[in-house]
This record gives sequence, structure tokens and C-alpha cells, in this order.
Amino acid sequence: MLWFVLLFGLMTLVTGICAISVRNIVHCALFAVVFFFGIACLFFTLRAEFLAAVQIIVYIGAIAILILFAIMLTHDVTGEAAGGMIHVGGITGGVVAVAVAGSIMVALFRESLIRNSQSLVERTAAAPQVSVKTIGEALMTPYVVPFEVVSILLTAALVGAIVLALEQRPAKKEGS
Amino acid sequence: MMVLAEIAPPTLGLYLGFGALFFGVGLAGVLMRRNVIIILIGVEMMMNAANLNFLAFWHYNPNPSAVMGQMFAIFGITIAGAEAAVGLALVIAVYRHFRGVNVDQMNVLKG
Repeated sequence: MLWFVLLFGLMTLVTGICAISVRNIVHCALFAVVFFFGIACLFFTLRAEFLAAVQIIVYIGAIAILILFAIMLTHDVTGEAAGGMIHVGGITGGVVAVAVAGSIMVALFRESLIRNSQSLVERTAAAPQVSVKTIGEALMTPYVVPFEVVSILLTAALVGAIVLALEQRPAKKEGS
Repeated sequence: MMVLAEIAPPTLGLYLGFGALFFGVGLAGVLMRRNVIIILIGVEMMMNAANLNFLAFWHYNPNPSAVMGQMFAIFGITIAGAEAAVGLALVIAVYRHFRGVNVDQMNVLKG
């Protein structure tokens, strides 16, 4: 199990780094697809099968396709206008990102490194058994209010996305 | 393989460490690139890292019947979907105005 987790984690990490550093923006989106799939594999190793399926359906099936559509609507498909990472702001941003990730890692592992005791991050417990039926019942009974709120949010986001992306006719006449 | 798996099961810290690394990668994508679409991909990566942390804490909690971690991850994925839809609609609207998706060009609020 440990080797599966390490394999999926390293695969996800490498494809994530590729997804943000490759120049061709279509390749970036395709690397992001592999990144999302690696996250779904990690969900499987955590015994969260339903969330892994949802991750594949929502991220690879919807969000990645949406990103590819946005690339095709806004770019030359060759995507050479992506721009590189080596500029003053980019180097500063890279240093900030490494500092943030490093400080999170230090905060996580400092305790177990110093005291060599059984800290939280070394916990290995039996996996909880939560079936899809349990998740559905929980969504419909104690979590029904956030469920409805999130459905309203999705409707609002749908309408808002259409309003934002819709081309206004007077502007089109002026442009042509 | 099975013997090794029994000797060293994956710990909570392994998942949390990977979550921190994925968050750092997404943050680097947001801060280092000037293309709006890659910035959105970076934001999605950070949300994925947060969901991984939720599920890791859910997996390693002592209560065997808890579902709260899964609920948080479900709502997180939903909100990430809504955010991606609105964000990409904004990208298309901005592209129509500036004829480009470079964030350095976007320096006026007035349409």
C-alpha cells in the first residue's frame, strides 16, 4: 500500500510540475488531466471510492474539458503565447511558493523529528467503512441545508457564466 | 510486496506531505505564470490538495462511522466546479476585451 501511495504521489507531483512549467498551453491542460487522475488514485488508496469517482467525473470529465474549450476559444491552438516563467515576478513567485510549501512541511514534521514520539502525522488507523449509501443518507439528512445551498450556488454560477460569456450585440456591431 | 505493506502502512503524514507539495506546485503555477488559464489550473490544483487533506484526516480519524471529511470534500469539489465555470467565462470575456490572456495586459477595471 505504501508503494502505491508513493508511486501515485510522485506521479501526481511530476505531472503537476509539468502542468505549470510546460510552454505549450494545450500540453499544460493535458498534464493537468493526469494530475487530477493521480489525485483520484490517491483518493482510492484512502478508501474513498465515491470521491475518487466524483473526482474523475467532475475534474477530468468537466473541468479539464472546460479548460480545453477555453484554450480553443481564446488562443491559437499552437499556444505559443503562453509566456515563460523566468522573469522577476516569476522568480519571486517561485521563491514564495517554495517557502509556503516548506513552512507547511516544517510545521507538519517538526514534532515527530524533534521528540521522536508518536505524533499525529505518524498515525496509521484502520480505515473507516463508509459506503455510498451512508454518504447519500448523510447528504439528505444532517447535511441537507448545505446541499441545497450548494445547489443554489451552482445555479447562480451557471447563470453568471452564461451572462459573462455571452457576447453583447451592440459591442459586436461596433467591432465589425 | 505484501510483507513490506504490512511492515510500513502509509501514515497520515505521507498524505499531508503530498498535500503540501501539491499546494506548493499550484501556488507556483499561480504566482509564476502570466497566462490566466494556467493560473486557473493552479487554483484547481490547490483545491485538490485541500480535498486530499480533508480525506486524509477523514481516513485516519478514530471514529469509524464519521462522514464529515467526505462531506467537506464533496462540497469542495462542487465549489471548485462552480469556480472553474465562472473563471473560464471571465477568461473568455476578458479575452474579448483585451485580445489576450496575459495578466500583465489587464490593468484597467473599466470595460
